[in-house]
Amino acid sequence: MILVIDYNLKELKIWSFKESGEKSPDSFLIQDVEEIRDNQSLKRCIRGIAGKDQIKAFAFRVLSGGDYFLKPAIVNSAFLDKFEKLIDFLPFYIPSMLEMIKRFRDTFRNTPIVNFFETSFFSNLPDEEKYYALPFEYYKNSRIKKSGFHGIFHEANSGFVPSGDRTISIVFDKQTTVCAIHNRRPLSISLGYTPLEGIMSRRACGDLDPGIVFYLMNIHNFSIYEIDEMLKNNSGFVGLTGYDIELEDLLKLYGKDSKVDLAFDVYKAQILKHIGEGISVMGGLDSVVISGDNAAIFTPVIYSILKSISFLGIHIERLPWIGDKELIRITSEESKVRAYINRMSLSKIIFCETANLLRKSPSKHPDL
Amino acid sequence: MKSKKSTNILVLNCGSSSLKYKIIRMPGGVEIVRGEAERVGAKTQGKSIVRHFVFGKERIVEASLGDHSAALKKTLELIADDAKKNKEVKFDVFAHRYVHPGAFFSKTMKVDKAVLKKLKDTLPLAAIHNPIIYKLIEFCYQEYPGIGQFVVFDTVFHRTILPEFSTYALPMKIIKKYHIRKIGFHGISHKYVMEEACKFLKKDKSLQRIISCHLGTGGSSVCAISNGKSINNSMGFTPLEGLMMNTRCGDIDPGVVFYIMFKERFSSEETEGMLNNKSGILGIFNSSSDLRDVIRDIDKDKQAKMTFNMYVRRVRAYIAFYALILKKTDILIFTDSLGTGSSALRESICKNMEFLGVKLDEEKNKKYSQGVSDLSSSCSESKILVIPTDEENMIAKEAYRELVKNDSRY
Repeated sequence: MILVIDYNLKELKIWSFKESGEKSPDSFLIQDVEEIRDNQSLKRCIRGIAGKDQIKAFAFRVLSGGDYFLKPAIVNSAFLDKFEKLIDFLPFYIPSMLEMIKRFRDTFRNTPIVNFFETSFFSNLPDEEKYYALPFEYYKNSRIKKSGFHGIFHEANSGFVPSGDRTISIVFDKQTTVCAIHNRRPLSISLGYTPLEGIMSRRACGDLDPGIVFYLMNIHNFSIYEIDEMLKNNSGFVGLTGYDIELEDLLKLYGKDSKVDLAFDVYKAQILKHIGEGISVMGGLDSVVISGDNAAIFTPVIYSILKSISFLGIHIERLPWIGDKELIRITSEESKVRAYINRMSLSKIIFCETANLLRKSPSKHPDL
Repeated sequence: MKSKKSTNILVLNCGSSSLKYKIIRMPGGVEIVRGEAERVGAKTQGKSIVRHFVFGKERIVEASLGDHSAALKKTLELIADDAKKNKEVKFDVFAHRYVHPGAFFSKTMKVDKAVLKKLKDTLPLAAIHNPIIYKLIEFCYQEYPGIGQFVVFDTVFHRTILPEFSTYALPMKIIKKYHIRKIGFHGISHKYVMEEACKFLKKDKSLQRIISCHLGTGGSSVCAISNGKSINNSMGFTPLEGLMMNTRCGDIDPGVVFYIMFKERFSSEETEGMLNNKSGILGIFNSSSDLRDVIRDIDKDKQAKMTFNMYVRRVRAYIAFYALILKKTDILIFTDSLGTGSSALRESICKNMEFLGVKLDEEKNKKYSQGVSDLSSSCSESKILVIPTDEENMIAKEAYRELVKNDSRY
């Protein structure tokens, strides 16, 4: 059994997978990390999930690996030293994550822990994509550059199409990201150094003229904290519509409420902008692969976007898109550009990758 | 029949590192004087000069042009010199291109005390341009009290940008209270080249889908035009958004702005100054803010190559985005000093764009030297045109129209 863990600093979500790939029907949620504050309580909790099955590995999803983790990494003392160096980069996230990983390691000393980073896939972005047009000497101190996000999904999406394809991969999740991939290498990614850049989310603004920040500060006396809070938590769909509801429910109001119509039209325009960016760097388009937890909810949005660019050779099938496989083709056989929905969950992708890693290098774990 | 009174309009067009000027006799549009003060203020590798033409006869004057006021004074000196020799060299009216009028103005205005006061409130909206243009307007107002002045705005053409492209995903109450929307810039130039393109190809502008690339040594922007109207522009609420420019960063993660302010303890003014004046081409290349210097060094300097690639990448991204929203592009236009002046730049931008119907004829591109020209290959679905912009001509027309409206003598 392999346990896949997503820790968001407040709660732990755990999925258990048998070696056959069969997933437990529900994820397990530890709502309060205090419940697993010591080795005994953690052991009890994990045993409650795994039962008598042997746990072959724990796999953590980690939001960022900075410049240090360019691929999945198994926890050992060298890992912990390196991981600690990321504290400067993500001062709120890394210490808690480090503590959680250490807690698992101390409790289950003979079980490998593998970490998957959402940023590793983007470590070899082209320079012209990676850097912002800021004073270059500034990079030497600040290391500001695009780190990207949803690398685990985008990398998996690229695996469903031939390597030579010029692929647009889109992930619809809490964040929406668009990535251009050619020869398994990412060439563009909509999300930047922080999650603010790119496509708007439920509460965050996405791409923004930086001049607006200065306008509000210099002329209307906003403090930096007020603007930071506004852009991160009061903008996006909630800001434009005034409705603080789930996107699934908001989408039901599309066509019935002009504020909602505008918000989704802005959202689609932002996605188109990044698709345009992606195809411009690839010099064309052969395939589109879409995944993420919100992909099923957003099928009308996905249909509308792909329909609007059908002149590129996309012949999209009508809704509903039905299929019992993990990968559903949503374009007709004669469509020049192929488009797919990848319904594989993030936890399943991480499970498969962990199982592969263990198969390839069972002895790499220091405690085995 | 009442004959129209002729008026000589001195058009002043400030770029971030240049001052273009023309004396145009209206009506009729006869050009009497034209010129450009080049490399004004900015850190570049070349000398500052004024190229001054009287009835087409060129004079090049080297001068110390530390700022735009110095450039204007030098220009007025040259005009005064010529006026002594030629009675036709004179001006009756000033007309200025003004970049960002905020929510105050949506049409060409005659300058008076009230207008000046409102213009002053717009200075922070375009931190590079508005203050220098305002300074020149104020100078002309004080030094030439008998001569009328008009301001023609660069944003009016973009009033038709579609809501899904002009809306930022901010709280609606903030959008409404502070009039925040994508305003777009270089409207005078985009409108001019659109009209010239349709004239050249003998096409009805209301049927054309056009992407216009205004690529200057100062600012640059791309515009999507459908049915003769701007529907999107790469610049935003301010001219900082969009392409990478001479000293402006263009598109950037807003989180980076906060990071710089938090981490470096920079004030908003310092950060804004860095993004407007020390970034873009200058930021990456370091030794010059002029892409022509970058292109010259591209084979021997790694940083020059990266700067060029970054610049090209961003132009291509906007072209592809606009091609997606227009569905198909009938005409792709290159204009302004880099758009008309660099075949290498046009070639790199158009490379591997066949999937959008864009295919450049490399020979025609290399041979291009001046005027309006079609550089598209015979198999290109889109026409690729190079069109030298003439913002001054458009500004003179706009100013004269306003003058005639308000003065019974015309």
